[in-house]
Amino acid sequence: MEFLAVNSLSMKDVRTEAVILDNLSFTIGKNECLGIVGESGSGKSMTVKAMLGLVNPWLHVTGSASFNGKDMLQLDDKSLRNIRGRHICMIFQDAMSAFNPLYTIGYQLIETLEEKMHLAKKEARQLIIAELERVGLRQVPQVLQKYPHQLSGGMLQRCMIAIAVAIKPDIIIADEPTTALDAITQGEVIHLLHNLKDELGIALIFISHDLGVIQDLADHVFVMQEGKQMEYGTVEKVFKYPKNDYTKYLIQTRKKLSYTFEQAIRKDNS
Amino acid sequence: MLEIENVCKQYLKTDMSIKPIPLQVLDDVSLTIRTGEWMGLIGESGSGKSTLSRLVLGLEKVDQGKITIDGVDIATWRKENKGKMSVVFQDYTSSANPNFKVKDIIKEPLEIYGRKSIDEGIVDELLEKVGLPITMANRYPHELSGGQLQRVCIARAISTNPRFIVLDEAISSLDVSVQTQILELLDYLKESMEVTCLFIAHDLQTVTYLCDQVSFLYKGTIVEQVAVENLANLQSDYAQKLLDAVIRFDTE
Repeated sequence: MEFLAVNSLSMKDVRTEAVILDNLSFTIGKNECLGIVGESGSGKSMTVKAMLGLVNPWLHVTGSASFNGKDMLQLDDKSLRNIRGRHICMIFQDAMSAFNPLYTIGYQLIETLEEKMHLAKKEARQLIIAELERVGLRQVPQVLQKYPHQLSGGMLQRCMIAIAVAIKPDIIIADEPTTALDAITQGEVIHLLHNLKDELGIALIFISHDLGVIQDLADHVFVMQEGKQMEYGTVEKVFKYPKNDYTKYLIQTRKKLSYTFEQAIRKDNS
Repeated sequence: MLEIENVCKQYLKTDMSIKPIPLQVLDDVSLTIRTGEWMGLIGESGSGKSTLSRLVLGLEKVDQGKITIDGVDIATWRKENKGKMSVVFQDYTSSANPNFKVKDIIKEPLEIYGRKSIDEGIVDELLEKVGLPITMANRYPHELSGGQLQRVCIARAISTNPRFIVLDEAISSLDVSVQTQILELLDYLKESMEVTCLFIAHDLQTVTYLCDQVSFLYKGTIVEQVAVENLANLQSDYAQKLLDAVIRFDTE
């Protein structure tokens, strides 16, 4: 079943008449993962932001983005707010600026759960502790007392994932959640997202510039360049038989990056 | 030859408690980089990679042990060889002065190290070397993309014709496609210049692309050092774990 269907989504800056997103269409079903790839500035983040109504007022969005049959672009603020955070959660790239530096992590996480899940403080606390442990944080009660600047990027990223998971939304949108992390943590976060998809049936929109990550995680891939849709299809098909030149270029550069590494590893096996 | 011998480094962590807690960042680290060799240093965040590079660059002092180049203490070596050691950092936006034009950014080290008359040809030559059009010379940093600005930082780093260069996560915050371009540029510089390099990264794939040797730093100690061609025969668990964490891309 289709959860989310985006149809001819376009976005224009009314001040300069610049077209930022140009006629994008994709769908996502239950338990599916859609990977959005493209270089910086290609409009990956803007696509999901436009869909959720998280854009500046001078950006004019057209087309449709229906979630469970309701077009999010036509909804009033209150209904949209109900979908955002409860049914569709977003994990941002910059974990540092996603939290308020003046409040403790615990306060912010618990407040969010009280508001979104209508839980009592005690229940919210129990829930978030369980989720933080699930995402692999240690000494959780101490972590809850800390302020954002006292935690590392990886820890904050996990806190964000934990809150998204605790709410158990229908869709999680992860906007480059692993770019700021080192290789081991990156692997762990991806493993975690894999599990969430399989265990809880959460659909995932994963934004990244790394084709390796997308190949690992996604079922479908959506390639973007300068706000335009370049290619859209199953991961296997797009990566094996790319039709578009830009997709080919991305694949070629990614392969080049790992060529020496693959050679070094293969030596042993042969 | 750069030799790091039994280096220890401790910071005092205050963390809102009354008594500062000592934090051992580097513990008895020894590492040798032969002249002309490119050494990759790999480890997770907080392992002490950047601290080690700061010690080599002379931005911090060692607590114990010593760092020498060709047998000369690093501080003395730097005084005798001004401008012969340079660095490229991860954060390109904060390492380029926003008030300077690209040409001034590239020329700055040359001016500091006492070249009185610098002809504009040098800037053009350097821009060409890092693969940027010479028309970029009159632009400001904010007008450049991340990859372009990082190229400018590389041009600045090589302007003094250094003998030793530290690349501290120099490509980590770029797109994969841009990373490949910068790696190709660095590979070209490696072939065309006689320079020794300490290449710090957290991604094993980028390290193997460029380096001859790889050292694995874990919690302030070097757990393993191998030549890139022996990467398949790792001994330590930690290095193996890092190797397994690499996300492969396979279209076969």
